[in-house]
Amino acid sequence: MNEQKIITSLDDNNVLLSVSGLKKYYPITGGLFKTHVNDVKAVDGISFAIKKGETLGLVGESGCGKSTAGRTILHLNKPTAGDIKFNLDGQMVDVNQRSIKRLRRHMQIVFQDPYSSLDPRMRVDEIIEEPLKAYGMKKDERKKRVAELLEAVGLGKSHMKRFPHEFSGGQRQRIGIARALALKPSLVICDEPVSALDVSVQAQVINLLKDLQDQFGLTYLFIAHDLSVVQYVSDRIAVMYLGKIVEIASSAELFLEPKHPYTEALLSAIPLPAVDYDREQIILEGDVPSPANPPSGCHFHTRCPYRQEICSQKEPSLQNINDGHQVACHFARELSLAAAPVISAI
Amino acid sequence: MVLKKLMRNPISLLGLIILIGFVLVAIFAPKLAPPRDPEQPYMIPRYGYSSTPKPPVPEHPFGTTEGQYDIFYGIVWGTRTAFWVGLFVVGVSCAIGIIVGSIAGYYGGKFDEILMRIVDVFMSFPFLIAAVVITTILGRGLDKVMLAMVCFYWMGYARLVRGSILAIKEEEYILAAKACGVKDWQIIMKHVLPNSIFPVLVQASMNIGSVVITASGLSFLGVGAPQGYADWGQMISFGRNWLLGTPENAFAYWYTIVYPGLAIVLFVLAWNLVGDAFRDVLDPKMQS
Ligand SMILES: Nc1ncnc2c1ncn2[C@@H]1O[C@H](COP(=O)(O)OP(=O)(O)O)[C@@H](O)[C@H]1O
Ligand SMILES: [Mg+2]
Repeated sequence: MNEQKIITSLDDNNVLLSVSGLKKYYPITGGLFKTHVNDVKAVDGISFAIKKGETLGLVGESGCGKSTAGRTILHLNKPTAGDIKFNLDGQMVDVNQRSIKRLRRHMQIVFQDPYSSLDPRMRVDEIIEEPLKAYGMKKDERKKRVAELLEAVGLGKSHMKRFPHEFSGGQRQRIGIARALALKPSLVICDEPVSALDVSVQAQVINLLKDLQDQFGLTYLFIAHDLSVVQYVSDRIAVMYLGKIVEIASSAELFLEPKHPYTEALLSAIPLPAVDYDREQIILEGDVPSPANPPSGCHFHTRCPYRQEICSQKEPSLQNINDGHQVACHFARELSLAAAPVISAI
Repeated sequence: MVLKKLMRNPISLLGLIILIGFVLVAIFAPKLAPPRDPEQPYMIPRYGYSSTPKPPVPEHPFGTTEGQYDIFYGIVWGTRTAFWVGLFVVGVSCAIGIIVGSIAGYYGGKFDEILMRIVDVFMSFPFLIAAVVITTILGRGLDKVMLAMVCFYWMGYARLVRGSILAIKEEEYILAAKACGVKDWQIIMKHVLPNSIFPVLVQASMNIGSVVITASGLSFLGVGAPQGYADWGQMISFGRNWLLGTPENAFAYWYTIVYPGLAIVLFVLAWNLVGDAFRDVLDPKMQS
């Protein structure tokens, strides 16, 4: 199939994670006997690959399945279908129920909500050493590693014996990052790590994540619900809509030459730092449709300003437009869409 | 440290003091009221066979009730009975409830469905009637009453535990632990239970009082402890014919009701106050 080809087009040796045709459906049950009536198609066949050391941004409105995608890759949810492969010392290992035990230490996650992601009954050092304990590290070694990690994320030894509720959101997120790095993973999935934080703190945490990436050679899947956050961290960006990836490109290309109408709308929604000079913001019509009953044809056609008849009938597949730039739109080659305002102004 | 926090609040301190008082009475029962027959310390000694209660005198500081059972002796040894009944019934039904509730809540799906239907079945029996039926079949006795109570008490805990586990399961720290390679049962022991069980323990400590009241009620109905057994409920049932006193003096036999009644009320109150204090102590936000 088309998707398969796209994956293999990336240089295999450099690929750390490859995902193909990944689906996660949540069953909806109803009636007296709790029979299966429908599925929430939270992730509906996504394919992408992440190269070693790069950051892939994953962007889309809330509810489009980003968290589900991240969690399913780590087998925190059981995938409904699809293949996930992880590069372990040069070998692409199938990520499944059995291999995941071995792979957990190489792939970690930072969660969105710093209040829900730390156990309120555990002290900071207990939280950070939990993964170390799970992998059988000895006590004095654990102590040393915890101190190291705290320093790496900009906290001090004095914080070790405190409870999570004594910290601010930004500090809590640092604790979560320290926990994710404890086992020296190569891939870290950052699930909207700054969405819950004050704007002033967001930049600090993003800078920390960038520093840590340089320091430890990390690879990120960086999830966000708008493009303004990911533009600073991502090498490439994947745009998601209703459980599907509609466009993937390098950050520069996505910002300068978006090919999908949905990407164009997201770009136009980026808040500008300085004066709000004249620009057209594309306001999408209507609400995001339900992932239980997605629209026919192209999922985006109900809100697309450029829709044609074919859009409601035939689903577009993700196609290579030029090297490494993939779009799922029938008119990707014909439309000329507006670039990101900030970048075009430079 | 826990004690220190308990001390800070005068109300919970009061509860703690009353409770410690009861514990001391229970421990030193053989000294406070030496049994006549050391083989059967729980049988209240009788001082005659007249049915009319006799008021307090130095040898019987709380008087004697119907059948000349020594009220003081009954109260003192009844304290042990109360602790035994309360802790056993709550302890065992809490343990069952926690096991059932956590399996249902954590694994969900079919397990949950089946276990919760079983809970519903048990819930649908009217407790008092069921308890009377059980003791009629098994025979009268405190152990049978406790068994009957465990049979109909565990469901409440199971539901409570299940509910709070369902809420805790959604917390991201559970996923984080899973992502770190922590095993399922360790996640249950270290994250799920501590965060869902403490509310249950608070509830349980408060229930100890009400269990003792229910057991007393069953004794009062005559299906509980055997005749003459040191049990507060039975003490009250001895006094029930003397509630109204005599035509000249309505309060002539007050001691037959007031002493055992006071013992029950204080016992229940103490557990409630201590349970309340527990809630604060177990909240990590109140720590450090
Ligand atoms: N455990 C679940 N059970 C049922 N539906 C779920 C579950 N988790 C998420 N969903 C649904 O899947 C869709 C995608 O959710 P999510 O992955 O959290 O989106 P995002 O992270 O992009 O905001 C939403 O419609 C959400 O309601
Ligand atoms: Mg999300």
